[in-house]
Amino acid sequence: MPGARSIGKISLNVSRAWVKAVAPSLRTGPPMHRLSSSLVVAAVIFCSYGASAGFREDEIFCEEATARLAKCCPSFDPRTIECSFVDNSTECTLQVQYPAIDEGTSKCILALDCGTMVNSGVCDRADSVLPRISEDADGGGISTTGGSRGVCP
Amino acid sequence: MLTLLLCSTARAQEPSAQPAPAQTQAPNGAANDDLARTLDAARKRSRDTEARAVLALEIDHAFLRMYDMPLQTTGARLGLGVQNDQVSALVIADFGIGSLGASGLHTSTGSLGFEVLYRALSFLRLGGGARLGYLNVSRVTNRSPMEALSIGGFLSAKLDVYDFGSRDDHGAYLGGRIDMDTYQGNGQGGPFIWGPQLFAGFRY
Repeated sequence: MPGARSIGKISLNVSRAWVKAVAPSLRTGPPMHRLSSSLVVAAVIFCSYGASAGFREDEIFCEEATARLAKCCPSFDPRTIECSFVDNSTECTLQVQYPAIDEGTSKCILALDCGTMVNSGVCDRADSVLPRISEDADGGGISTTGGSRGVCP
Repeated sequence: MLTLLLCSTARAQEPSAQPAPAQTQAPNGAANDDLARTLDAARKRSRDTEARAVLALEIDHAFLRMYDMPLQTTGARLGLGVQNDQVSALVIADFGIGSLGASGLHTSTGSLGFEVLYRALSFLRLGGGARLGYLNVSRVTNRSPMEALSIGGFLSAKLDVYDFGSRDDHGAYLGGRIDMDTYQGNGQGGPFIWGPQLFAGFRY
């Protein structure tokens, strides 16, 4: 997630600058002043850090389903699946990467036990149909192809 | 100051300081009893409202729900603050590890907040608090972080099972808590995580 990482770095730098500015008042001054300064620092770190984090339901379910596939399907390698949601869109371009296993398919996989997954061909289809991470032609990043529809009966 | 004033008043009215005739000893004795009772009450009130430091350590296990999946965490909680005989207020730091969902994705949590408790009965403390928190869910696909910050609160009840100290304010206790936290989302609304928590604690 290059976009999120750069935002995270900026957030970290902003946080460090704030800490440097407020640090002297943390070492000196009356206890209440020190306490309030500490709270300000904590709040700034909290807010700036928050720019690079957050949960998505489809990401969580994709990771859960991948863990289930890895447990039940012997030949399945979870490291070849990309469950991250990445939004690198700009004002002019739309560039969004969704988790490789969509939420509906994830819930379907999670509802099956291991025996059913093997016997009904879910493991085979997961190996052949699910989008996999591959190196870009110029080696500059990763891309995924395909979709998760059709994996689950 | 009230105690000092009453003490000096009492000393001034001691029978040995002003010997009274035999026939007036009974009324003076009653007055002294009243004064003694007043003094005791004043001392007790002074002790009741006197703030002193309190340290609390708890081991907890939570049964939470996240996106309708079970999230169980086990952790430790450290509290530092002040208390008198009725109320305590603490700054709370909480750390825990756990697992999410049937596949057991590893999680780690942390939070910083405050808690206020009211001693409803000699053995029961009721209260609640608010906190800022953090939750990390480990991926199985890669090592990139899946994490979020939260803001939330909790309601708690603590049952003393063993007290000690001159004011019975130190001791061991068991309790329950209801946690409610809302987390950041990534491109959509974040999850609301809630559920009960059981704990055992020690207060000094």
